[in-house]
Amino acid sequence: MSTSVSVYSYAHSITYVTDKMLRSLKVIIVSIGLDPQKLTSDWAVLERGISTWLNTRDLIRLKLEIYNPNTDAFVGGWDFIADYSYGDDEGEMWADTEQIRSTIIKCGTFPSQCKYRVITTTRDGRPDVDGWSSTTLLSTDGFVFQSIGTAIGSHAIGAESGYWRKN
Amino acid sequence: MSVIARSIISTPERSTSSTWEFITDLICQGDESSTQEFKAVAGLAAACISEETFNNHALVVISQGPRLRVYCLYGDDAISGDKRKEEVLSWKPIEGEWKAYLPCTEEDFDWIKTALATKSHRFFAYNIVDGLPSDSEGNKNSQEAQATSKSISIDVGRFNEL
Repeated sequence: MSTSVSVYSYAHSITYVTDKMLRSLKVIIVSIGLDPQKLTSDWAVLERGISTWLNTRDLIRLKLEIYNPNTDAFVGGWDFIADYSYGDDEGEMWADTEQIRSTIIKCGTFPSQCKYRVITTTRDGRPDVDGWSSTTLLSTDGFVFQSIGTAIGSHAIGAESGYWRKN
Repeated sequence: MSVIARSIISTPERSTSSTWEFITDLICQGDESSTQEFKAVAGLAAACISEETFNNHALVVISQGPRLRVYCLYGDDAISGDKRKEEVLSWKPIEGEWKAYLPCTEEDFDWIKTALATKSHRFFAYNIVDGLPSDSEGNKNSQEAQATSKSISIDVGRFNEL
């Protein structure tokens, strides 16, 4: 776990949480045995969207959907749920990717032929961001969301994380 | 061989992508060809910056001029900016033949090495546990420097006996 203390602005929280969300996604993708190059190819676009919608408080969830490319069926995933009431205006920022790693060790990896995509769910009326378009979430029927608690914290914004497991 | 270092402000003051854009502008100085090389690896570099490997391990640019080492500042150091060294370079590191080495964690080294090979013939990954690869010019110079250092080392024990 990395922790730092300082006097941070809301803009610092946005940058920090955006960065830690992307880093966590990268850690998850590498740890579950998939190729992170799709993530890094889209890094700047993802960063722009997440930070914009954290700034407007429109971001609800950042989702990693893992699917079978032959059937387009959902096979698993991870979510980060934005929490705008997190924090007490004191300057602590932290991210716990070790908690994510230990969960993945317990849950196992995915076949390397699986594909993934990064999706956000946002509030109605959110501003458009270049490089992002609308899509439909895959069905998670037969799966249940398992929270692992808060994974990212800052003085103004937090993010709960969790994964989808078969019901 | 001389070495010049820069320390660039990163998160949470600058995003990882913005940090890489700053590094690109600093090194490429408007040169179109090298800017494209830097842009081609931007996502991979941003992932390395996000891992905070740049805190203690530099992006190393080796060319005909001085060797350039670029570090990043994070957290309190990024916000205060007290340790920043972002001055314009007095030479162009991307003139002539040049190579750049990105610091990677042990976990990321293999896939970033593979990914870089498909995007650039000038960017290479190095594992921060192992340091720069032995076939890099920089490491040879480093070994020479170490050899020179050994040749002038002081035996403190013998010195104290005098």
